[in-house]
Amino acid sequence: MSVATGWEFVAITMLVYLGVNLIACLGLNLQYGTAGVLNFAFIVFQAAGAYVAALFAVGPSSSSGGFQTYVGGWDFPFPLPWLVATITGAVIAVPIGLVGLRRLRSDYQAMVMLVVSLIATTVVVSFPGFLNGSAGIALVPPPLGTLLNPISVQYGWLYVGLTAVCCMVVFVLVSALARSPLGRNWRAMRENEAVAIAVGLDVNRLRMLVFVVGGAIAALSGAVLVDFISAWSPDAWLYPETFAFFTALIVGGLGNSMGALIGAVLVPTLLLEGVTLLPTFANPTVSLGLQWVVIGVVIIAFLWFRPQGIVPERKTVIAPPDNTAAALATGHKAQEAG
Amino acid sequence: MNQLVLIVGSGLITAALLAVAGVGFTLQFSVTNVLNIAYGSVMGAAAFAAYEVNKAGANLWVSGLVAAATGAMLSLAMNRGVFKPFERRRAGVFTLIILSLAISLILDNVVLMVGGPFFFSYKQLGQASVRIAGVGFPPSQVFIVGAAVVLMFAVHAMQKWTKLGKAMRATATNPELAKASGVRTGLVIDLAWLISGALCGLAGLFMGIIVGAFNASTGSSFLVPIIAAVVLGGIGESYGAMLGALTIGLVSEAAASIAGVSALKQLVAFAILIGMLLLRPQGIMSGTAAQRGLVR
Amino acid sequence: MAVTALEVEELRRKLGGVDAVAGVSFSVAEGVTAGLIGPNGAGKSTLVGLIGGTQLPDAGTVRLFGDDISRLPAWQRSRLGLARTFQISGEFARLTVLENLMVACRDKTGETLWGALFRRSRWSAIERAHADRAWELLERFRLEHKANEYAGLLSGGEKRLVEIMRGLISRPRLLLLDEPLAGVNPTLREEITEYLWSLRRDGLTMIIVEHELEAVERLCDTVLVMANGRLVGQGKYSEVIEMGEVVDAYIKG
Repeated sequence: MSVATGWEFVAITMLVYLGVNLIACLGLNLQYGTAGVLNFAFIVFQAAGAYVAALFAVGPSSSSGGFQTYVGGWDFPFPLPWLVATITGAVIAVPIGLVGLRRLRSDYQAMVMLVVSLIATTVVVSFPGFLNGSAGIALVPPPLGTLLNPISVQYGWLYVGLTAVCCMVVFVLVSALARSPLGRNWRAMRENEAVAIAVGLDVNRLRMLVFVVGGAIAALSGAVLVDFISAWSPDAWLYPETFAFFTALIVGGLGNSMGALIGAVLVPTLLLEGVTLLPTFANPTVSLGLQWVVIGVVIIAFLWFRPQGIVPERKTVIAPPDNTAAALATGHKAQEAG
Repeated sequence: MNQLVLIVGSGLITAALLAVAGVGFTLQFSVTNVLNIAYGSVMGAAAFAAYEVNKAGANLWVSGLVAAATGAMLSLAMNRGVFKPFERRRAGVFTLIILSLAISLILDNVVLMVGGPFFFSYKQLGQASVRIAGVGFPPSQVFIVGAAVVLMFAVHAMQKWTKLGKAMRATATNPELAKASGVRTGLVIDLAWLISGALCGLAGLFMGIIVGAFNASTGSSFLVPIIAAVVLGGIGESYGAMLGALTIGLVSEAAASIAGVSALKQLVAFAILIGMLLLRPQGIMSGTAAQRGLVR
Repeated sequence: MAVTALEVEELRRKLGGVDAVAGVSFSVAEGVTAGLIGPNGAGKSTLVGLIGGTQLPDAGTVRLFGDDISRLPAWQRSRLGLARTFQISGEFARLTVLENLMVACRDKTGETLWGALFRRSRWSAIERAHADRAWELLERFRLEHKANEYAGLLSGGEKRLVEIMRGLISRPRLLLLDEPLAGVNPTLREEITEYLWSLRRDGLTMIIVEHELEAVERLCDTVLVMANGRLVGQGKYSEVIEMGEVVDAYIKG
């Protein structure tokens, strides 16, 4: 998608990427920050959403010359592909969750999910008839491309608007969940699973639920991204990408949406995408490699110096009932509990 | 008959690589309780270091030494420089695995920046095929199997008969008790990382020989079959790693050969891994896994 | 006729090849406070785990007010009215004290995905009710000044109290306390014993595992003695205190 002038191109691209990354970070934050569930296969959900959104918009392979091979291929109008993509994310969360959410020690489980991610990549690459292998799917038509000329500036800003709407929907959803009793149950599960079970929480159901919701959100982010860049290939979703999102949360601060926003701005957007838009110095490989080295160093530094992130989770303060508030206000001091 | 020899031969070669790598990986976990995801990257970095030396004219033995030394130094530095300080701060196991992922990214990309996005190959591997039972194998790969057997025996000997081996087992089982009994756990851990790092480096060299051409990310891509072998055999158990390596090596070669699809090799390793994780995540020899509470 | 709150029949559990609990049977009537004592390794923790649901029996049954809960997971037992505390204080460190208590309150609306998103007005009212009840408990235990404090920052004794309150807030039918006085300073020990006494007076059915014999004498209507995985005695404190096993375990050495 190219547009008229230079700075507008950069702004639109950065904003869409920021939106996509924010949606993804909010989803991962719900899983990891709020519920303490590890999903090192997170990128697979974004990828699934992207592939499904592509398949539901790109039409059969023959219509574009037949040089791509993939399953399906329909031509549904916007926003159907995005909706189907989101649902797909929720659906694949179930089998992946069953593999990954067995009661394993947290790092063992992380390793398992990482392996799931690697396997997914290998499967797609090894079976080219499935999703066109390592070449990926290209020529995905832009949504609402018939309303506005897709290469115009106006379309670019329209897309930013669509992205912003999705961001807001996800933000409202995640905030509402975090503040609800369900959100509190997730946090309790995160803090102390054994006690959570003892007070009556069905942690298996809670874990699967957050996996499904987070998966759906991740898939939506993939759908928004793929329709912007019109193509999707395994290179876009190698396992380090999950790590980039984790870094964003650790830097920004876990368990709260503001932290997710800051993390999404600093890490995937500025650090990864932003750098590619700057004039690259000498060797493109060096700048690509350097980005990831910086991410690696940043995460080690943050884990050492500021593990709670830039914006730590905010405490939920609950007001006392009116009579108690009065009693507290008149200076009734309880004894210092020893 | 020839096909059988080919399958068994290729299977043993793969198993040799996975065994050497797996024993190193599992030793790191056994002694320090860290699942070191950066292991594959160290293999890659060591393979690259060996390549540079080899390119400059050194023969395979010297390159091997360089690979082992690189692996040993990087692994020791990793433990001393990153894992140990965080552990002293009582970092949780999840933090440690994230750190190992960070190190993995850094290593892979440093190799990428230094070496470029190219594929590397070793020279002077020896041309004349070694004929075994009527099937020809590259001499370097036969050498790998031989070297792996020697290394496995050396590890076995060390664990069973040397003071160091006993000290490692004591540290792995109960570090506080070991320290209280006079074991110099700090030194033992350093040595464990040096030894496992050397194994890792050699595995990197073997990997480079076997795949023929490798790039900056080949090492990390070998993580999955290595993890498959280690998980299958039982994480933390070196004999488990050997058993797992043998199984995966032979089964994946057999499957790929019978079905005629070479991509099946990797997928079989994955299928075994997923199956194990679903059915018996603690592996065949489950002692360490059970002790560390990996499966609840 | 007195209702049986808890009935345990021929409960058996092997751990590491040894009978940790080897055929234990007893029952506790409603409103009774039963103590469970015995030397270390007698199987008390295993028995508590079998009743609470963190362990499943190899054989035998556990009935709560007539319902067979022997193979139910712990979270379901909790919802049936069985509350328990842990030997090592467990709290939700990065939740406030109030939230720690409210987690133990059930709310069918706010805890489902649909309800959390679309039934806000319904569950906010329920939340307020739960919060009020939590404040009530905090006042009773004199910790209301820590209500909005992170539970992880409390002192050991305060955490104990929070645990007990958390066991109470759901209005359980049976409260299982695993060494509530362990490692607690004498002043607080006295306080906690007072609280438990008031709970007993209010008619709550309790099972208390304890080593502090003074508290056991004061609080318990009946005392169960375990040794080597078996129930070796049952009766009033004054009766069991003379038993050989009790003397061996507590008086000697």
